[in-house]
Amino acid sequence: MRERLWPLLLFVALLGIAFYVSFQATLYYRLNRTSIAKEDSIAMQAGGLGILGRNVTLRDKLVNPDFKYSACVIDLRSGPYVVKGPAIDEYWSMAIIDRVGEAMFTASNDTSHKAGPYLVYATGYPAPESSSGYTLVKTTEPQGIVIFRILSNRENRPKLGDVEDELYCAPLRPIAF
Amino acid sequence: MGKFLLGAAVLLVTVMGAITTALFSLEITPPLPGGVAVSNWSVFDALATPDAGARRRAQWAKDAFGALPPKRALYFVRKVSDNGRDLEGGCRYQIVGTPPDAAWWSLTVYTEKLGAIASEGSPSINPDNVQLDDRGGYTVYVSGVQEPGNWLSSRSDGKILIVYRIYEPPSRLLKDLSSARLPAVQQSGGCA
Repeated sequence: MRERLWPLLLFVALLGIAFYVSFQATLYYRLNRTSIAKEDSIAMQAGGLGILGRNVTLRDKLVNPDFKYSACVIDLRSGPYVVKGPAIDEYWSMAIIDRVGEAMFTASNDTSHKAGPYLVYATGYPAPESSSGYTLVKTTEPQGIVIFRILSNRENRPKLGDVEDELYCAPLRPIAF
Repeated sequence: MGKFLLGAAVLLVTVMGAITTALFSLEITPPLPGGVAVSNWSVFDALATPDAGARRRAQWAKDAFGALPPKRALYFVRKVSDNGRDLEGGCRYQIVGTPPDAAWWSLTVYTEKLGAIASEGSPSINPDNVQLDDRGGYTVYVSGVQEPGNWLSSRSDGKILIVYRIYEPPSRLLKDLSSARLPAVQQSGGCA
């Protein structure tokens, strides 16, 4: 009896593992597909890779009306990027997120290095030869998106356009095509 | 041979079932699942971090792509009033609280599916436009008809939700989310 039961138990265990692995793989597939679609949308709004887009729509849901978003899709495989926030006292924030939307680095007017400039490079790629004048940031992934949140125009606050003029996101060296 | 084919068929059905279940679970899950309950609010302690499971991460990528991690911002979501009833569009509620210790904060009303609600007033209550009382607190009215003072529109068919954002939360709050002093949400009138 026991000898006949074992294959059945093994098969049931195999089914359980197959169900779990397939379930998780599907979720990760959807996570990646959703995120890549968002990244493509942001790059298109900005005008391409390594270009900072102003007033970018990050998503169509749950938008905070207090902020305007500027964003830049980065690819550190071709070399480091320079990223800079605005040197103002008003609240702003910057996040470098990976391709699935998870934060690899964040800064704001509340953090120690504040506006930067930051020299961003990825784990597994060579560190910049010279980083004088920059705060070095090492990301866990080479591809991602830099997102700035700037408060919308309001009375007695710096004008949005002036603040956006202070933002910077571009490769340290021009991208070769 | 027959047993082998039967086994392969059962395995295939299991895999297909898992894929369908995963896709279906993402579709039927209400927006922003998986928060930690604090009073009647739900807060996302692992947003924009790899600490959450695949299902929450996939759902957040859909609903909240680009959201900040907790150390930069805490997002509290409220779907029910203090008496536990769902928040309904067009109904009148009052949100009573005090401004948090933060670089920026805001209260915003959304549709159940996280869409914006059109309003002739301000789309959010925040440090720039909040009117405080003598004790330093605020009362925000959420209703279908514009009101003087702190007002947010609830003019929407179906259910609504309130999002309370705290930017640059103090470290003591991050260590103990249950210590957050969160606004009360009480029904205070009928529905338009």
